[in-house]
Amino acid sequence: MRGLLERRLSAAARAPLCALVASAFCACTPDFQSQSQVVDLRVLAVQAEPPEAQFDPDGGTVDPVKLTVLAVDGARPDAGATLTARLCAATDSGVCDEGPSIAADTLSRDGGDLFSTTLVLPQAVVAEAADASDLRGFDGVRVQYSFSIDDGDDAGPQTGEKVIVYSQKTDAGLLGHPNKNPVLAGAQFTEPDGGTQQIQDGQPLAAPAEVALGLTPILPRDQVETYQTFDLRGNLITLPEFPAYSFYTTGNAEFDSDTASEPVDGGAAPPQGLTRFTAHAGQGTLWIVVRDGRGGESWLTIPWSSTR
Amino acid sequence: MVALALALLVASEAPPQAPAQPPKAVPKAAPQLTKLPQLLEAPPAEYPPERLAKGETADVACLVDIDAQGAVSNVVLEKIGAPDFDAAALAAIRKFKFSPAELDGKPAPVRIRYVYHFVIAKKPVERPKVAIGTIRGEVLEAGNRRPVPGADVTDDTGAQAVTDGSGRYQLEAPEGHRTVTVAAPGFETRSQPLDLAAGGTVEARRIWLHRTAVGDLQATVPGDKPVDAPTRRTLSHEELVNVPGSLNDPIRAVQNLPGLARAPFLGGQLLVRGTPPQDTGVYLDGHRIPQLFHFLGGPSVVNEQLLDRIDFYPGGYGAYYGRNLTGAIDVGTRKADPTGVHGEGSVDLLQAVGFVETPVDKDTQVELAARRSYIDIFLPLFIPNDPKRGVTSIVPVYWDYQARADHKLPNGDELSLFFFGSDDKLSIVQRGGTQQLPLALDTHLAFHRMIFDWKHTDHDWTFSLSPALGWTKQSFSSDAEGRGPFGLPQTADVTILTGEIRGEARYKPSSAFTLRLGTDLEFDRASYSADLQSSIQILSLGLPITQKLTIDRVQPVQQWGEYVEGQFTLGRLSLVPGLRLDEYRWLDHARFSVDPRLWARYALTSATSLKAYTGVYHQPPQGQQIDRDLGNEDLDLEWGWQAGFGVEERFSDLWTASAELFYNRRGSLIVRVDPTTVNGQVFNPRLLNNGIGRAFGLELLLRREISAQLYGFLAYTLSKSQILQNPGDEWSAFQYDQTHILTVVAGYRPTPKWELSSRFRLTSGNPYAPVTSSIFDADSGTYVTTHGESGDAREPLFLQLDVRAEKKWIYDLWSFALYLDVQNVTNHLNEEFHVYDYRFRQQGSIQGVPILPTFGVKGRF
Repeated sequence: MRGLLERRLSAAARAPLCALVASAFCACTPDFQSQSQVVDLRVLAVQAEPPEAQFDPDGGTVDPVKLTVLAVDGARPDAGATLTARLCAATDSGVCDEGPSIAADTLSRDGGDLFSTTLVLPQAVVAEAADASDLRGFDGVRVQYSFSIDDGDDAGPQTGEKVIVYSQKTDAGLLGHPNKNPVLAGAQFTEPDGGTQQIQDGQPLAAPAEVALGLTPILPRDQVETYQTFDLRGNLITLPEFPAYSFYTTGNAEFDSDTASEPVDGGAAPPQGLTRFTAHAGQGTLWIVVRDGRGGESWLTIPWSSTR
Repeated sequence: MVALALALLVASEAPPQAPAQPPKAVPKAAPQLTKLPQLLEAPPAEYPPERLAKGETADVACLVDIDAQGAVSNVVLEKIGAPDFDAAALAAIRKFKFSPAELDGKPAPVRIRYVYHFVIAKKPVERPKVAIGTIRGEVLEAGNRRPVPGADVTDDTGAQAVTDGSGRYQLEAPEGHRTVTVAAPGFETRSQPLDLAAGGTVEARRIWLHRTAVGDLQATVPGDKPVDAPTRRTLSHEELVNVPGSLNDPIRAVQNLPGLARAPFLGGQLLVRGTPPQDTGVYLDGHRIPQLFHFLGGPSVVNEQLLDRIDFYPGGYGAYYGRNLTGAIDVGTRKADPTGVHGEGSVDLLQAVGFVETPVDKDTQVELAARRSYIDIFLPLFIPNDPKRGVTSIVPVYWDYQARADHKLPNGDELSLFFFGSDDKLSIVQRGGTQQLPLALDTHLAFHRMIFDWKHTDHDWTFSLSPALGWTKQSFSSDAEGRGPFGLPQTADVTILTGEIRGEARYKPSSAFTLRLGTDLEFDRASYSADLQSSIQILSLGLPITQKLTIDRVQPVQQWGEYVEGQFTLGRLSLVPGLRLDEYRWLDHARFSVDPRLWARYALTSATSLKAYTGVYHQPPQGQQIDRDLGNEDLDLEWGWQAGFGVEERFSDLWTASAELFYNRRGSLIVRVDPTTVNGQVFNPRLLNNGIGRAFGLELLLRREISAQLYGFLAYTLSKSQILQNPGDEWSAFQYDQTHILTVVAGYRPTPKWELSSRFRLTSGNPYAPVTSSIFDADSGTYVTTHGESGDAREPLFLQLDVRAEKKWIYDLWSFALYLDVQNVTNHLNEEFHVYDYRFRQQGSIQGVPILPTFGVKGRF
């Protein structure tokens, strides 16, 4: 009841502003929690290495794929957790609820943020996935890894899925080299006075409290690939990757933008960074996840501490 | 003892049985009242003896219908008073004789408000024979400088005169120091001293009369418009201008009528009978315009002072309108006032507006209007500059203009030239926070039109020709960080040159038959370019997430329309069959449509009418839908079939009611389809004519037409609208399917200086498709959902009460008004849209407009 009352009071307090803003035709939206703030069990990323595996339908060989799941519980970082998963042809729902599917290994961890496993699929499973897809394996076979993680969180298990691309070795000449995961070289933090510091993966960040630090992920140019694929009319086209970033943190801190895109066409990032990170007090961990838009992804992990 | 007062009355919802006068060629601006009726003969009423004995007096207000010959055809009480006074007044007024009123210089029937004053006459004053002189003068209404006809002018010796239609008088009076007194019902009395020489003529100073009773020196002609649809809902200017919640914009008030769903927030979408906005045509003086309202629910693109009327056709209209599946809204503008220079200016929180009109000579008038918004300048002043919490808002910046000239040729032909245009763009207002978001957004829509109009009447024939030229430019670009629709640079730009010709010949050999033949041609040349970053991803197909699309093209489109319509009157039955043919050409494609339409009306009694209609309607794809990269150039026409049945009842001169059942079936609707494979090849037509829609319901309208003090209406719609997107799908609710829509509008004018009005709305919540589950997609970093069908859940009931108050200050030469319009006066929390958090666990709603007071001032001369 108190929460409801507070929301109503809050709404009333916002009314005058909303009245003016509404005259500019802007609506007041509910105050949902920010996507970047990790306060309970969350899946933040899943990396497949390689992101585009190769298979030879004639020889019956399929590349093994190492899957790493970044799953964080902001409230109980040391809680044990289990991951159960199924494999199937890719579906629109992201769940293996259509057609045949097979169970994958159940994984467990005692604290920490990662689950890791290596998939070695029989060639018959890849062939089945190709047959089950609407495009019959056109432009690569897509096998979906759908999983559920449970660490006893009150909100219940977290579900996620990752599509693993298997291309035929004979396609390499047509489609170019297989996709690679983009790898960040670090992150640059910019203070309001213009001073900067670069942080590598795993290095700690000392963040002054209540100061908005500009944050720019450092992605070497050679990590942005050009590739060939088919457009939605079936035409072969050449495209550059459009890397995108997601920002997450635990602890008492926030980003002013949860996501950002790498400046396209070689443009420079704005001087104030792609997002602003403000730590209030205490400590936590921030993650920067980069995705290439076609299945490749990786992340930086930066523990931070802040004092007033 | 007796004087005249005229009041603005309102045209009815549907045309009553046609009065005996020729209908006009096209449904455009209503004719102008060029001459008021003058009272020629006024046999006195029989004063009730008992009242006379007691010295009692009374004023009896009546509504008087005067025919084209000046005879009184009907008279009713506006307000019931003492029975003996009322009966005596009615009996006397029925014997009155007037000079005919004139519309555009021709005698025509009108309705006036007339107050019969029962006063006890003074005994005539014995006047000695003295030398006399002549006093001439003019009596005008204070505030608007319009003439006051029929005012009593007397001097201190008892000499009397009455002002004519132009407010002038001439009084023969004895020489000496005289005091002229002017009195007219509904106005305060004014006196003026002057010296008059024997045999001389004195031009008295102009006398300004201030109103003491509600009313206006105008009249309207009921049933004047041609009968062109079974259901036409017309709102007059006075009925429109003070509806609360319309942000002082009368055209927005049309959204209160039955058949229109409530648009979210302050939006101006025209959601007619459960169909999307593009299914309803928007016209200005019969020509199609790109938009009726400025961006984000702003005011209309036409200055309200030019507005003559709004005709809203919710469905079943005749062959004049075409290329739309459901409804039509035609905004008619008016000629400038031929009596003098007038103007208006207004200022409020959003915009400034100016208007001026003037006659050039007796046959020529011009009028100009302009508007400019400035919310983008003032809004930052009201947003708190909180460094911890930035506010970013997108606001509209707009301007528009209109210029119209009218001329009447010696042979009676009428010419008009109308220029108008509008410009809209969105501006980003940012304030507070530690950093400004690197957000840029450019959305721009501008159009300019020139319409020429010629009308000629020759015996039983009436001809009209209206060519128009237009230029429309629309552009969009965004450059921002983040993801989603604004995540990557996107630009699109289209410029359209338009040529239109509307022509009509109307033949009316008798009152029982009218034939209409017309053409409706439109030629467009669209040149457009786009640089888009497509972010389409179909998980199961795994096709590219991001794709660049650059196009630069020219696309001509031709639309040829012809129509014929006959209007037969067979006793109580009116039957109107019509046929419309359209041909559409784009690229190397041609499409044809044949639309037969029929409607009928039967007068059960003089007060009760039945009506029924059926018809076929076609609509071409929109411009971007036939582009080979953005859409599908092979698309076909969408079609609709409408049928309806209704009854109309006139309870009295003031109260009317109507009820109408309707059914609207639409097919070959253009819907988006997912890519698939055919014989191992990708098949992605993007759009196909796969959709089917159906809407049906009941519309009720109870209306209290404008009288001196009261007006209002109650509109209720019970309806259902569903869409079947693709073969094999289930029927789902249309996005704005609102089962119940109730609107009550009431206005009250206790004095000429105050007007109070109120609007109450209650509608069903919009349907939505609830999310049933979600899963984290590692490749995009977002959550993928599964959801039910639209209509599986609805937002709560929408409820809102708006009020408006206006106070006028009237001076001799000008007047000004201060108004306060408060929307959602109870601050009811209405939920407009259902939203979820990023992982679809928490639910909430975007709230509608909270209590929203706006105020402004407007001056008039």
